Amino acid sequence: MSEMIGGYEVKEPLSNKNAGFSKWGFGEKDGKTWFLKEFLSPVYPVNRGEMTEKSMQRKLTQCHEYEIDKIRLFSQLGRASDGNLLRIHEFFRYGSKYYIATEAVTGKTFQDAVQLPEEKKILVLKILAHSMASLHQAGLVHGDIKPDNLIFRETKNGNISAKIIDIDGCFSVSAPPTDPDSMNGDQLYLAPETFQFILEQPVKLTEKIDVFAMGLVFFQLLTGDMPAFPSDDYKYPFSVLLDGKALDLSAVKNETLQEIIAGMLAADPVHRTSMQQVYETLSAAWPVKTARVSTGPVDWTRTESYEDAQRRLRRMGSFPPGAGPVDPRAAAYAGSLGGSGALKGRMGPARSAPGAGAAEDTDEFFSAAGDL
Amino acid sequence: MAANYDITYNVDMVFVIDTTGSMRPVLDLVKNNALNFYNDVTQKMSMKGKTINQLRIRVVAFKDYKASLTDGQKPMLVTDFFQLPAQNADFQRCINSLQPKGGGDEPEDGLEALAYAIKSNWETTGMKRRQIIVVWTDASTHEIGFGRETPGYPANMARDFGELTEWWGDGQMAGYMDQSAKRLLLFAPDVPYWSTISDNWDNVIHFPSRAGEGLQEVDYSQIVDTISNSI
Repeated sequence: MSEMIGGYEVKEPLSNKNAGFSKWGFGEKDGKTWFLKEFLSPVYPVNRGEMTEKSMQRKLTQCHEYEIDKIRLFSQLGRASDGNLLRIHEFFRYGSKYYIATEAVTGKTFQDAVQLPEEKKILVLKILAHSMASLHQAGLVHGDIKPDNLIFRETKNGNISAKIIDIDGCFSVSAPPTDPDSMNGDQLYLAPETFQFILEQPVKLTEKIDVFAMGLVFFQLLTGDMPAFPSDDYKYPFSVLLDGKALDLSAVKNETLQEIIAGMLAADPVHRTSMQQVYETLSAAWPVKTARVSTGPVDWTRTESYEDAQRRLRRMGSFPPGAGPVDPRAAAYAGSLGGSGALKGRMGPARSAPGAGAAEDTDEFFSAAGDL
Repeated sequence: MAANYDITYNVDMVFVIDTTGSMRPVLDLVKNNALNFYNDVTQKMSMKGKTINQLRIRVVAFKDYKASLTDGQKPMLVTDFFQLPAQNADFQRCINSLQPKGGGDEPEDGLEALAYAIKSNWETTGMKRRQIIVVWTDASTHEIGFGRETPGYPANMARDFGELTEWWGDGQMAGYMDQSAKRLLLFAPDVPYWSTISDNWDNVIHFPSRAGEGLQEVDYSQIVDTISNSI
């Protein structure tokens, strides 16, 4: 049985499989299939009768700030995308939960891309470098670059495109994460400074964490494997570098590519190359223009003003505390709950107890629950 | 040297289990798999590249305070945390001792059970922490305080749902759990107050179950997958 979520017809319930702590699925809208993601925090208060006034105001403020922040971020992302970064099609609230809708991208996996001939791999490297440079020039960081977040397509005329997905966790360089627990990406692609951040050392995360992860991805694309390191002593590339040792990049035979990757995998983010430099070096060494790589300058300085964000919020249907119409679902809840009378009519037949004589031996581990 | 650079998780779980008469299917499921639980979860986590440094489980078994006056069942039982895998056998024996009995009317006192779970003695150290409450029930809940007049009802229980919500906390005001570590997984019907919780509390995943059927539609692999995905 399908349900409607914000105008999207969802036929299979959203799932948290392989999703970390969020839910995802697919929905149909306007004759097209979209990928939907439901966020589990924050939650917009719809059952206002069931919480204290202080709690409700706090939640409304938190949600309002969250909405403004995400609209600005996703707008910035939309302007930064060169077509190969997955844009957020829609960010909305339905009931108490927030959602994003993006294009449902299908294509070939990273393992398929590893099988491409070298000249097409170079093209893929340029596409990825250009997309990441665009993102970084807009002051944004993806934060979870890894092969699973790349989708590839080969067009009928033999061109290749590469899409970077799972971008809703991106952050602004000017407002990097402060909670070490917020970094939950794949440990294999962690930059050294990200590990230090998780250990609560005083480091600031920048776009260079993407460069490191993309360096490993480039290496894997070219060779089919991770850079070699002594696996008896280390589990992850970042740990090798934190111990002052080097990764073995000799499997990349082309000198120029090896140098580029070496620059991307520098242990110190200050000395690590930028994605713009990577793109320029690749373009200079392999100057073949592709249909998917734009070359014109883009104005990255314009971001959405607070007033623009407010106007967009009003169109969405979210309003600052104390203003505007409430979510119709909230009105439905307010009518259905109210004091102990709300549960009348829900009491079904009394349960029948199993036959007497079943032994109970809970005392070994259980104690009667006492005062809190 | 590898161990110095491993990101490890200290995971605490509280199983909040409705042990009234209709809950035999899921109780049997948990009993049959209690011994394997630690291995199954750590293996799943290992496939995701995550290392569990410590896994502890605690059990809160609930029924109905008012019904206990007539059916003689203990309405609320709690354990300390079991450290797995060292206490695997104890955990198994604990789960085996639970018998699905009693309950009286259809709503049960799940909110009080949740209150006990929220106020667990959570691990506060470690590189990454996860504090996961898993609720299993096929019934709606009484309002909190419905059984307040019964003997043995705990002092200092949350006064109402609003106060319980404060105990859970949110991004602006922490409750009794670590805001970024906490997760609540509800295997419960889509009825008050479970639906109220999933509509209003953050970090909650609700798997609506069919009322009165003992969660027989849930299978073990789904439980392990869901718990592992939440870590």
